Amino acid sequence: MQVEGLTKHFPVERPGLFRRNRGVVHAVDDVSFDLAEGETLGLVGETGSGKSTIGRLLVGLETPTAGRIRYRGQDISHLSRKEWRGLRREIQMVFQDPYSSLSPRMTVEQLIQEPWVVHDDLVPRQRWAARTRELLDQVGLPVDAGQRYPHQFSGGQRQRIGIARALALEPKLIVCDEPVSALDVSIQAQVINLLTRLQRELEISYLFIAHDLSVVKHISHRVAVLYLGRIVEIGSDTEVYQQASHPYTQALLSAVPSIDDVDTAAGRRIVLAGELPDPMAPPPGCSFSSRCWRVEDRCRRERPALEPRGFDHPSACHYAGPIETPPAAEPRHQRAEGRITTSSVDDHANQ
Amino acid sequence: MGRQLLNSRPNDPRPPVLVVEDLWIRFNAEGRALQAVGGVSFAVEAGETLAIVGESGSGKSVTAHAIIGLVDIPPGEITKGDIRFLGQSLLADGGRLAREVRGREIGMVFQDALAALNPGFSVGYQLAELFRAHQGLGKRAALARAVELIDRVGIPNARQRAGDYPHQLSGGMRQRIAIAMAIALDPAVIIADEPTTALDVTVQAQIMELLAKLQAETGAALILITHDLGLVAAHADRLAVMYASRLVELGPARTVFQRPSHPYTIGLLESVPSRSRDALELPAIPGQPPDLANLPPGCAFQPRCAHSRDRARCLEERPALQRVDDQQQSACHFFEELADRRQRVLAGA
Repeated sequence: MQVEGLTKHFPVERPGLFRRNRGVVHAVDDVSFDLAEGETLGLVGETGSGKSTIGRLLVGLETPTAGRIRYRGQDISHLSRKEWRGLRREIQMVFQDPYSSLSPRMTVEQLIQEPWVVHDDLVPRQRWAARTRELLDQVGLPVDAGQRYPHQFSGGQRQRIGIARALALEPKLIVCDEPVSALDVSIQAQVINLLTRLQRELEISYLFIAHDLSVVKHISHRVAVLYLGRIVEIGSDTEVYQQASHPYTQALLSAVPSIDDVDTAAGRRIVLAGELPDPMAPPPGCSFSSRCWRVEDRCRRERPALEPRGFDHPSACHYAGPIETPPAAEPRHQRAEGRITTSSVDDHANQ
Repeated sequence: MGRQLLNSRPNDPRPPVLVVEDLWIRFNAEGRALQAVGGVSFAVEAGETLAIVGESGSGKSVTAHAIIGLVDIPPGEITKGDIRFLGQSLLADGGRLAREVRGREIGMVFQDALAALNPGFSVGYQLAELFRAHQGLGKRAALARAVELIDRVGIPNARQRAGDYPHQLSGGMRQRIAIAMAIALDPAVIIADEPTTALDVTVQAQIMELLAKLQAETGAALILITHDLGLVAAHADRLAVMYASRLVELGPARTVFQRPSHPYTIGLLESVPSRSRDALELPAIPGQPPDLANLPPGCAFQPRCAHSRDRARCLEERPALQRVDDQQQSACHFFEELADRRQRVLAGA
């Protein structure tokens, strides 16, 4: 799959008299990446970064405003509902909350078999029962699960049902949108292991969308970091996690507490000032400039392109580079006066 | 106020502010009795951060709610045990004292700040009301205190923001206001129940930093209820691990991370993807947590335990929390055998 200049804008009516203040949210802006067979690309970012919208665009739940999505050479960005039907078989999606995507009135067996009614050439009817058992076994559910209803299962098991249902059509690509975020830690690990095992066995590609950086690192071969609809950095998991060159990636990595932190001085944390800017009015130039501690005048004027900039992997920062001497040595209250501010919040956050 | 009571026991340099003693809570629903909390004991000292971790249904939130008298009775029922705040029972007399200290000497921060704030009043007014009602301040003085407090929790233009209604603020700002309400009356204990779960990571970091700063300034004890082990590693002094209504391990956070003394803690730490170790397969804990209406007679973790090997003692006898060393406690019959496995966690195998 190749994605080129993918852009999605949502028109928004701001509340106001006569609704004159129409605005546009740039949910996804000029995003490009490739996804190879059997590969996992992780998309990380905060709320409003556009990661879920990218997932929805890839499976045809949204139509792009601009840009192209090519699947095995075929442009699929503007297919009709009917044309999608053939492709649906190859591109599937797994959601965060499987409960809302599984009809409560159908047994697990019926849920798994439902796609075969539409795609009636895939599994001959006499093989349905056997194939269902195979799928249940493949995702680690007991064989008798087929006769039960979704509400009779725990969250982790329901996610397995969702995965079995996605697998029923033997897809080549699965878009996983926060598939383990709602699960407890010990159950999370079971589902992550299941996804990696299935990838090995079936050579599926994953687009893995999540906000948990550790989970994404574990499962992904390559990782793209998103901020306000744009990719700010993309590379192999080691490149992004160990040689991050974009200040947002660096801040994100340092902001997320990890169990490794028990051995690290907590003072090394970069706490970003402010919150995400209004997506209807992103700052001019670099969209991260309003929160960046390395900001220069140029950043506020000129949007940085996603380029290698002397590193092995591209970064969308004019001043891409390794993190400067971490402010660890200074006491916390002094740090606030330097470039890296601590808990103070910028004015723009609420305007 | 709290601090005076604390100082009234000069012989003990650091008496616990809050003691939970053998607490048992049951919920009766649809003819089934769910054991939500089963014999939990711990103490919290002034100025320390105790994190209580556990998965859904482990009883961590119910324990916290019991401390502030927010367990609905019925269907809830506290069948045994006590909670003492500065030596006085919070449960006696139908929970009279719990209601009295709630929001004053014990402050609370919840996951959803919007639920803690009244949508119909400006945030400044809501904060000022606390000072008027509890400290008898006049309208003007109370509002001035409110503005001061809004500034203290790191919100710029505090005077202006005081006139904002909760819905006009972002999630992070609302959580700051909720924290302001929790610390307004200078509590001795702050209970934060998943305070950052609903927030984005960069905002999460801001909120945790703020909580730590305020705690250092006020000397309050912080009870941090969370499922996020990363948060615990970064912020907790001590750690209590709960599983299926029971406390299974208690100790200094660092020690518990480096030398866990309960198979569940070991499994939990191993199953979290770490950025420093990279294994193909995560060592997941097999199976599911038990049904709280039907807990096994022995160890609740036994059915999923890699270490039990179906030994009779694990199946039959419920393990009590016992001393591992001066600071660490474990509820495993065979914690001494776990030394090897701890090493494995340490080595990152």
